[in-house]
Amino acid sequence: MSRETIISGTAALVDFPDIDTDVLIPVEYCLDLERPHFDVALFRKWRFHEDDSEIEEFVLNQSEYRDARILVAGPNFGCGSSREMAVWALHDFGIRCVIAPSFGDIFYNNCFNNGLLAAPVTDAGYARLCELLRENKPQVLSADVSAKQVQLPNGELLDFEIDDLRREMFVEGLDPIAATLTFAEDIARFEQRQATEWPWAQRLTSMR
Amino acid sequence: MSQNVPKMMFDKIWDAHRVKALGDRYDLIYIDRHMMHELATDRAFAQIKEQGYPVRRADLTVATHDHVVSTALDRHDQSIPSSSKYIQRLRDNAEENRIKLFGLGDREQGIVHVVAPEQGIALPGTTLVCGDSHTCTVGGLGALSWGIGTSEVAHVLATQTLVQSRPRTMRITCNGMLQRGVSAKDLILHIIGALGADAGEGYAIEYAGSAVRELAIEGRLTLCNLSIELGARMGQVAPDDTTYDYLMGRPYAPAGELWEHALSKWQSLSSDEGAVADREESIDVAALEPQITWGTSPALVGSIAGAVPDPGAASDAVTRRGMEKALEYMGLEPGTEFENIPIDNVFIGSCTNSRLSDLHAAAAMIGDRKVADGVRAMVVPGSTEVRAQAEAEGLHKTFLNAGFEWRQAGCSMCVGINDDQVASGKRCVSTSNRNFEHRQGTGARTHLASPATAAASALTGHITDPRRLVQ
Repeated sequence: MSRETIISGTAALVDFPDIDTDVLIPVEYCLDLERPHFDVALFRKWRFHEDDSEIEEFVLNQSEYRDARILVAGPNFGCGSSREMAVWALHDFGIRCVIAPSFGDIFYNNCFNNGLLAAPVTDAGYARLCELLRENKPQVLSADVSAKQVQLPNGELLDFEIDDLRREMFVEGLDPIAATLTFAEDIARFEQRQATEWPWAQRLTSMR
Repeated sequence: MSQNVPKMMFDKIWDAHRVKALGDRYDLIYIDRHMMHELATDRAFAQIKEQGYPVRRADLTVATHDHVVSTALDRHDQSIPSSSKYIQRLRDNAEENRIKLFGLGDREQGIVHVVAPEQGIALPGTTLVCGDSHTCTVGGLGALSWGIGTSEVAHVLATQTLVQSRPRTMRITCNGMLQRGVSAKDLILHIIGALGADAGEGYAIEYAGSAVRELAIEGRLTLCNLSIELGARMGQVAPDDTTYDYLMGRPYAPAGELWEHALSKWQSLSSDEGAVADREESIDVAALEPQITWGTSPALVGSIAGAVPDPGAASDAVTRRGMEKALEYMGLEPGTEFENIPIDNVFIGSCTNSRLSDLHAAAAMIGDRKVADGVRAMVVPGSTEVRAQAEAEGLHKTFLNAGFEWRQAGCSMCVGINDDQVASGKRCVSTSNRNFEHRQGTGARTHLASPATAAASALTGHITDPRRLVQ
């Protein structure tokens, strides 16, 4: 299943550093929801009052941004918990690309396991996007996975980083488990060797 | 030729677990130990079942109940109706797939990162993963351990491997000796504050230096626990005699000939003389004071003798914006001295600080004193085993006599998904690892600190330097 390699859409700016996965989805929403309905949990405490009414000022509650496909945020985005539901919440809301100066490592991996593009830009690139998006009218950005660039409405281009293997997996939409199992013989050989060289690592039994 | 190139500990362990090089820094890495809990695993089991993949190495997989369990004394599977089905599902999945489960009611039950070292499951030089970001904890034994998402949990269940980009290495050398009243928790909070909450992204960290060597294993586990709060998935301390003494005789640790074999491997794991990490940092710990966080990121931290900083003095606009938002959430004004901040709750527990030595530190601070009026204070041991050992020593009497709750083992007030929560607007000094917004309950305000600081603050009713109360 090939994915779109150019992600275009309205970009919403949430310009805070260190947006953690507890902010992206509070833990109490991690248990009972089912895909694709995690959208209700996204930024729950920033989007909704405790009585479930919307917090009007929050960007994703403004009519021009309800169909946002791209999120621009501060450094260390997705830090904290390994909860993959943070990615599901973004994806189910309709976000297909997050642009930030840096990402939490576990979150970053989780994004690519769900076909969500995490695009790290330079600090200067982030500052440029903040400047553009703070003008407070909706702007359409376009992230090209193959070219590793984000295009601004005026044609300006910002580079982002992505490894070749990750890009290939993303574009091809490969099932990671099926891809790994093409190396099943290598895994079996490794286990045989390990049983000799690190036998205690291949065993886990209680002495009691 | 490669024999002569000095290697970092990380590189030795990584290379020994490479099943296949996939190019572009990516490797297929073998996983020796897979730990599970009830929160991240349910959908992973469902996924592999739906896709028709069997569990490849159930014998290398261990599950425990920790995140959603009640910590009430009379708890059972149905104590918390909203989460009881997840307790049952882990039982069902474990049974169906022949995976060992340390369930509610078992002596081995407890927080996954407390149980793995305690039972001798996490070992030096092994790779260990779990669907929980604080899996880095067991790097304190010299394991290479990291947290993974649900898709990766499914991948490990089906293949016993992960496709991973090789992290770069960072060594943080901690020179000097910690003062009395200053603990591993203070050290790692200070490191996060000094380097930043994203400093470790893309890195595997090795903690080294005299201050780290002097730490007992439980302190090393605390140190490595907060590696993820520094941005690094993996943090390690090289194994040494302290490590081997700790592991020998533990239920799942190798024994007899296997122990001797393992020991010979472990003794060659340390970073070679002359090996250099991709990034080297050093910290002088001699003047380090107890630390307290004041914001909603662990990097927003200071020495307890200090005061809430002014965002106006921040070095850049992005940092200032984060500080301002944090202070608004925390209900704090710049310039307020930390020790003048009144508190409502104290939580001693979590995978960071719930082991026997943490309880010793808290109990020593308390003595025969009482919790201040209006403060709800609780101690939640990290495992049922820790709880039993503490009771055998009589520590629980110190806590109960002072007015602390003495509860059953679990993640409790660290994760806010069981019955243990901080009420909205209330302020908690917590020995856990995250002061994120709403982490300990909607509207909860969290100050991270060591067990000694938490205990001292419980006694006075405001944030308190434990060195003031030393008896």
